[in-house]
Amino acid sequence: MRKFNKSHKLDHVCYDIRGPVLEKASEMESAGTKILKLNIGNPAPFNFSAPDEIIHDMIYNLRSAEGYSDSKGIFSARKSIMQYSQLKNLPNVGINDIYRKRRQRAYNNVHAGSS
Amino acid sequence: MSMQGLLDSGDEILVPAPDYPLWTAAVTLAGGNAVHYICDEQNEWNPDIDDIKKKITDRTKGIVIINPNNPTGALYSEEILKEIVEVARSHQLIIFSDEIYDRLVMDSLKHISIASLAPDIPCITFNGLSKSHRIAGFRCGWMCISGNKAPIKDYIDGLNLLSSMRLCSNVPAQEIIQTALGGYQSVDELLLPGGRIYEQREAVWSALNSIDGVSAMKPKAAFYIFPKIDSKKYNIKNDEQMVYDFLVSKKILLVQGSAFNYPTPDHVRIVYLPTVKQLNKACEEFEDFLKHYKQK
Repeated sequence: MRKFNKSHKLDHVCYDIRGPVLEKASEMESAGTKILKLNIGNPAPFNFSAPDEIIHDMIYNLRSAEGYSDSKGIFSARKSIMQYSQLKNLPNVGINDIYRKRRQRAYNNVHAGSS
Repeated sequence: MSMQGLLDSGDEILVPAPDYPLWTAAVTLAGGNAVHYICDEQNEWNPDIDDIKKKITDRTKGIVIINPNNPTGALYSEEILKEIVEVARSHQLIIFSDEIYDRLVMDSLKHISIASLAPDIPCITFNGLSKSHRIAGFRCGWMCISGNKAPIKDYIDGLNLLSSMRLCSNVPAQEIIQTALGGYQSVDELLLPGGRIYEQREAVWSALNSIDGVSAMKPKAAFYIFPKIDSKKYNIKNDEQMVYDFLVSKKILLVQGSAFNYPTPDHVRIVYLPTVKQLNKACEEFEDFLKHYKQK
């Protein structure tokens, strides 16, 4: 069968936080070695947990979060971000200037949680 | 999305070195060229304004700043920000400001959004809840356009198109933004003396600086430190090899400076989220490793 290579769009795209060193770490972990991971800014594994209020409110709203939202985001979220922007003195920010975003898809899928 | 919607092949975006490498990757994936300007370790890792000016060409469309900074922990002063605004103003650049750590500032310092100093310039500010509310896995982030929108009307059309192609971001995470941004901020107590992030910063900073041939600026925000390692002393020519060897030898995983597009192989980034005890142990291990390390 013919070969399928990755696209040339990716030729010079580089994300070395995930590179050969991480591969080695995964290999060591698979062999049962415990590794202290000081490589990514991921608070949860170090016992930094989300405020209870956040978890409570997400659970409370889960039922109403089943459907698609406006592609830029739900009203209350964008309104809150608009107000936060006002508190930080950002000039000329209206509710339509806020975009709830997902980061690059490739990043989300391949590199979830690393930053 | 902010890069996909803007860049044509060969367009240039100024990106800091060191950077958070997703910026360089996003510019490149969008078909642009990331042109790196230096942040100066000798000057508290502030952007080198002269270097920025030198790197501007007629293809430069914008400048990225990361403030507070990942990986250095720098926080930019109003003076520095005003200088960057002035450069953007005179060369007609869009400002992209990554402010994901703006609620993780220590030492009673205050974060200033560069957009607040640039009402006449198009600015896009990036933020989210991953760090301040410790919910990195919920993927809750946003961007916000401010300042002068007239010159970017067509670009905004492009952003709206891209945004609608993504249908929408995950709705459950959107439902908590109102809760998160208003009222009591639980992160504040982590950043004061006695709080975990503060105490861990103190510990990692003093432990690293006590190692022969290692020096680091004290981070003012976020939870990263970016120490310099005397590469002559340890004959380090390849920093990726060094962190690889450190991993194999001590079972601790760091990231080399070159992964942050830093030009010389003499830095590592350390995340100081573990406890003081774990950090002290890790620094001892690093000292012991360096003592016996010499790259061939």
